[in-house]
Amino acid sequence: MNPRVAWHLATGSDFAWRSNEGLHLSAPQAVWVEEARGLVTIQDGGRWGAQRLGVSVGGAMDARAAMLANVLAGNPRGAALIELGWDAALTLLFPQATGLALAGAGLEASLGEGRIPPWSPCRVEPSSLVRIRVTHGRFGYLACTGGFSLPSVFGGRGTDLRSGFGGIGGRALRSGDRLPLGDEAPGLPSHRGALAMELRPPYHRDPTLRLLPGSHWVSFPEASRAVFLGASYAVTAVSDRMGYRLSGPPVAPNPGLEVESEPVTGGSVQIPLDGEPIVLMADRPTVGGYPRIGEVLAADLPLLAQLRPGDRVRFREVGHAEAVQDLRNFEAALRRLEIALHG
Amino acid sequence: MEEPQTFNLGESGLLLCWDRPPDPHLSREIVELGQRLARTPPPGLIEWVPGLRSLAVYYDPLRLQRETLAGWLRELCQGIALPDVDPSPPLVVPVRYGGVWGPDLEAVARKSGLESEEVIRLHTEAVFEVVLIGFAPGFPYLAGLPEPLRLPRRTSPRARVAKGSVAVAGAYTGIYPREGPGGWSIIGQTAWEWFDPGDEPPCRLALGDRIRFCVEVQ
Repeated sequence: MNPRVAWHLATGSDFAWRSNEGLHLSAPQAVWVEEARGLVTIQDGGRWGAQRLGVSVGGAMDARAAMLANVLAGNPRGAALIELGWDAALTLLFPQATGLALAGAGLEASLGEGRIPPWSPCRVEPSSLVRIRVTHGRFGYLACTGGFSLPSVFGGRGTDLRSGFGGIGGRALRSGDRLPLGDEAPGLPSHRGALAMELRPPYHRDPTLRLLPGSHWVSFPEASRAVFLGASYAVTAVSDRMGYRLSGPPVAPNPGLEVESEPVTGGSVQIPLDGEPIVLMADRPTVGGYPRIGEVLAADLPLLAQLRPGDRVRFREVGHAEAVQDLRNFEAALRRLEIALHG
Repeated sequence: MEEPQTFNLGESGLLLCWDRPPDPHLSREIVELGQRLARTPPPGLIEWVPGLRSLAVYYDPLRLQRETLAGWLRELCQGIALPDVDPSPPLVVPVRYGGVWGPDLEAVARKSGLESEEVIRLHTEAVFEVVLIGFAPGFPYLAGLPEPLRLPRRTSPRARVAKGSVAVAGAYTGIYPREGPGGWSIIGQTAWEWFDPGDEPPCRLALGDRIRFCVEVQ
């Protein structure tokens, strides 16, 4: 189907069936946005396969929290879910019973008079109102059992705000939006209890991010590399879903280095002319023309994603084998969790 | 084609770099390499993304060993020798130069020691060729910018560049298919649509396409 047509189908108003109330069994499963303020978007595991058209990968800023929220809700890891920014406030109406799970550095969620604990599968009854906000950290996630069944654009369901596609009409959620639920899940998870601490990203206000040196690493003077690895950098206010700009001791690149635009990825640390690093995040461009000193490991990028302006980071150099071992450990732990929850 | 140098691009990316100046022929060989890799994809291959003289291959390192992938790519390189192709007739694209449409036209003229009219003349006489689509959806890197117009990018990027902006940086001219941030010098604007996710193909331009700009009569 033409994706543009598909959006209209997904975003067209369904108030007709809603106004009948009665929360009919025949109505398609969906969640209603009662109120959405700030940056609230649909995200997922990313839009892979279209970067050679210049299309950004996007997806959840804290990919691990998003993955864990999905698994706890009984979904495939990359299912579409809601991402809340730190300025966001969200109220959702669940006409039908469904499962959900929350994850991120710090969330507060209420269900009627009670609280919904994060990192834990939860069941909501029909006609439930759920209110959520981010209390600390920067991004929070809410996954609903089944995932959101929104049209896939270039292989992803996440919202690309700059390009204006994905999610609901390529924009942030607002009140009145209807989020159709999919049937991607085997069923509501029966498991209770919270996710073990060792599976959660080790959020910290002053993390050390592991960095794998990249193609330009050796072209930075040794003194520059020493500055970069020795310093502590502050996250600045010039930080968004595309990249986080850091402030601290400038890293001088090799003046003779000429970079012809080449592919960049999530965690790429660019050193622009002023020497202050920019770490590329989910909505990064596909190629870049600045020198790059290396790439932050996928395991550590969520720690950076959760920082607010004024929080600080350091960098530590690692090799490829250590980086892959880390992925292997996480994969094994996630697999155990999936088996424990869903067999 | 010659063997590239290989680097890590994070733990799930391999970056191949060729040590020669970018040109349309190298761009075609790089894309050919990506296509050949994807034709018989090793398990764990995610996607390939070209640069001006580089190619990124994203993969799952738990399913595909970096050395296996690098070895396979080196082998594929040996089989690539593309003949020159007859250039396609250029697409003629009307542009409004200067003023609100090209806020950097005068600065480009000043820095290159030319009059604005001279910049427009050089830009409309050249025939450009698409050597890369990347950066933003449908953004074409067009090679063939006349020598006097080759300037570094702006020292600080603009937060907002208008949709359709025609810009220059280094040896390239480019077109911003959507509004967004950008560091190139903007000399004009086209009213055409360049990227639509609902179209097949979504990009109006493809590698190897040629373009000539003309002054839009207002």
